[in-house]
Amino acid sequence: MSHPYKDLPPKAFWRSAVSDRSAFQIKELWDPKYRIRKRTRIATAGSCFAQHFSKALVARGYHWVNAEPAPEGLPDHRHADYHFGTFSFRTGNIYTVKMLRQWMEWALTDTPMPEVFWHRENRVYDPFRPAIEPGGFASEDEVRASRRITLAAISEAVRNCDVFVFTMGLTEGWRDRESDLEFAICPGTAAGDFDTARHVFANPTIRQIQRDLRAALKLMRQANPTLQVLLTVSPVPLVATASGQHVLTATSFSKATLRAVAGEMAIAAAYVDYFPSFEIISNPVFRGMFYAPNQRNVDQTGVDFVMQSFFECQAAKFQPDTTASDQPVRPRRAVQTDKTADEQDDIRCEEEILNAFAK
Amino acid sequence: MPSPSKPRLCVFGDSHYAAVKRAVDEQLVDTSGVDLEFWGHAGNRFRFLEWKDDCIRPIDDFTAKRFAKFNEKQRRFLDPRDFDAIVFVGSRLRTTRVFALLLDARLSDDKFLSQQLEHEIVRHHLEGELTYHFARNIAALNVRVLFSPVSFDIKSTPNDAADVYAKALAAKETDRRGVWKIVAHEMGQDGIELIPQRAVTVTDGCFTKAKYATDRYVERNDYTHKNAAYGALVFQDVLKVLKVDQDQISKSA
Repeated sequence: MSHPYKDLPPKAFWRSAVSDRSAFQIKELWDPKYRIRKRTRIATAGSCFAQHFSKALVARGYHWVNAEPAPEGLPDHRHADYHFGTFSFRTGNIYTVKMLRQWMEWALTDTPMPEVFWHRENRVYDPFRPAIEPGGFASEDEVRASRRITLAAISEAVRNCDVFVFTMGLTEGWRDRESDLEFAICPGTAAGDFDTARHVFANPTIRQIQRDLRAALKLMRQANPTLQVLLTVSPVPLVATASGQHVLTATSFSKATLRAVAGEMAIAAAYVDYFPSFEIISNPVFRGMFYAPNQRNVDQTGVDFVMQSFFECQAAKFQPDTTASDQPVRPRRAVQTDKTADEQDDIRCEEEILNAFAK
Repeated sequence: MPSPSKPRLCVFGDSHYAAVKRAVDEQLVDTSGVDLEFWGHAGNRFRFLEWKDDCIRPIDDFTAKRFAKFNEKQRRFLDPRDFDAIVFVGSRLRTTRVFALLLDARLSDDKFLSQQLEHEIVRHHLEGELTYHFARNIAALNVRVLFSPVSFDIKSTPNDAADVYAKALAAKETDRRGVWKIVAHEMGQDGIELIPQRAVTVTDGCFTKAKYATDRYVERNDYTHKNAAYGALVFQDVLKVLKVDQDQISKSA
C-alpha cells in the first residue's frame, strides 16, 4: 500500500530528524533555493541579529557588499559605533518591514526623506536611525548630507548585489499619525519628544506586513530584476512591548507573525528564500542553550551554529565552494596604522535603549 | 647659563627640523630673542625614544649618542623643564594624506564626513604617533608646546593622495582653514598649540609649492623635505605665537 509519507526522507520525520539526534546533529534545516558562492554579492540589512550575517560572510571570505564603508582614518574599533561595516549601508537596525519599505522608497524612488529631525542637547538625531552617529549630528544639514550618502549606498547595494539578506526583527513600531511614517524607535527614548497627539503605536497584522514586504521587494526587483532575497527572522525576543501584553506573549505574537510572512513570501515568490535562524536558536529542541542567561541575547555559540548551518546547508545542496576569498579588499592606505585594532564584537542594538526605561 | 630675559626654546624634530636649522644657520631668521637649542635626529631613530621620568629619552646608548651629537649641549635626553617652550617640527606627524582625505570629503558631492567624524579621524591621526604623546606629556608638565607638523608634500606624479582624493586638489585656503581648525582644536584639548602651514606655501589644495622643496628634490626623489626658506617661515610663526618681538629684543640687547 502506497502513501505520500512512504518515501519521504528522514528529515521529514520528527523521530529520525530530531528525537534520535542530539541538538547539534540536527541537519538539513534549510533547503536553499539558490546557490550562494563566494563570488555571490550579498547585501545584508535588518535587525540586530542580521549583523552576525555580515561578520560570518566576511570571515569566510564571501563577497559581502559594503556600500558605505568607513572612511579611511577612522580607527577600526570605532567603526561599529558609527554603524560602519554593520550592514551594507548605514541605516542602523531596520527592525520592521515597514521601515524596510520606507528606506527602499527613499533610496529607489523619487520619494524624499521627510524633513523630520529629533533634537537633544543641541545635537540633531535622525528619527529613522537615531543611533547612527554617537551623540547625534551637529546640525540638520549634517543629517541631510549623511542621509544623501546612505540613500545612495542603499541604491548601490540593491542594484549591485545578487542576494539581499533581510532579517526581520519586530512587528511593533511607532509611527507619525499624520504621515504614517515609522520611526526606528519610540520618540522620546533615544532622542526626540514623545507627543501623544502625534505618535501612535503600531503592531501591524500579517496582511499589512505582507503588503509592505511586497512593496519593498517590488521596488528592489525593479532596481535589480535578478535580485534574490533571503529572509530570516531574528530569534531575539522583544526587549519591551507597548502592546499591553506580557513581553513574552508579545514576542511570540510578533515572531509568529514575521515567521508566517517570511514563509508565505518564500512560497509565493521564486526569488525569495527563507533561512531558519529563528528556529535554530529558539526551537525547544535546542533547549534555549544558545541564549544568554537573560534568555534574550544569543551567545556566540548560537551565532556560530546558525551560520555553520547556513554554510553546511549550502554545501549539502550544492558543491562546497572551495574557491579563494572573493571579499573585495578595499585599499586601506591608512592615514596611520591602526594600533588599537582590537576586534570589538559587540552588536549594536538601538532597541536596547528601551531597557533603560525598564522599572 | 641662559639669559633669564630670553625664552628658552628647544626645537625638537625629525629630519624636517633641518629646514628650521638651516634657516637659522643661514640667518634667515633672527634668533636673538630666544635661547635656542635643537634636539632631534632623522626619523629612523624616533622609534628608539620613550617617555620616561617626564623626559624624552633614547632607549639605547647609540640613539642617545646620535641625538647628543646634533645638540648644542650634547644632551643625551630631553628634559622639557629645561625650557620655556618645546617646538615640535615634523616629528613624524604627517599631514598630506589626512588633509587630502578630509578636503576631498568636504568638496565631494558623493562623500560626507560629519564634524564629529572629522574630529575622530584627526584625533586618531594625532594619537597614532608616539611623538604626539610626547608633546601631550610635555604640555601636561606646564611647559609650552608648539607643534608644526610635517608640511604637505611637494606634488609628485603619480601621487597617492592626489590620485585617491582628487577633489582635494581644488581645495582653497578657506577649506584648509576648516581642517586646520579641527587639528588646532584637537591639539588644544591636549594643551598643544598648532603652527599650521602657511597658506602662501600651499598649492594644489594640499601640496607645498615646489619653491620650498629641498635641494635637488626631483633628482633625490624627495618630495617631503623642505628648504631653509620654508624653515624660516615656520620659525617666524613660532616666534609670533610666542610673542617674541624680535625688534624690541634686539634694541634692548
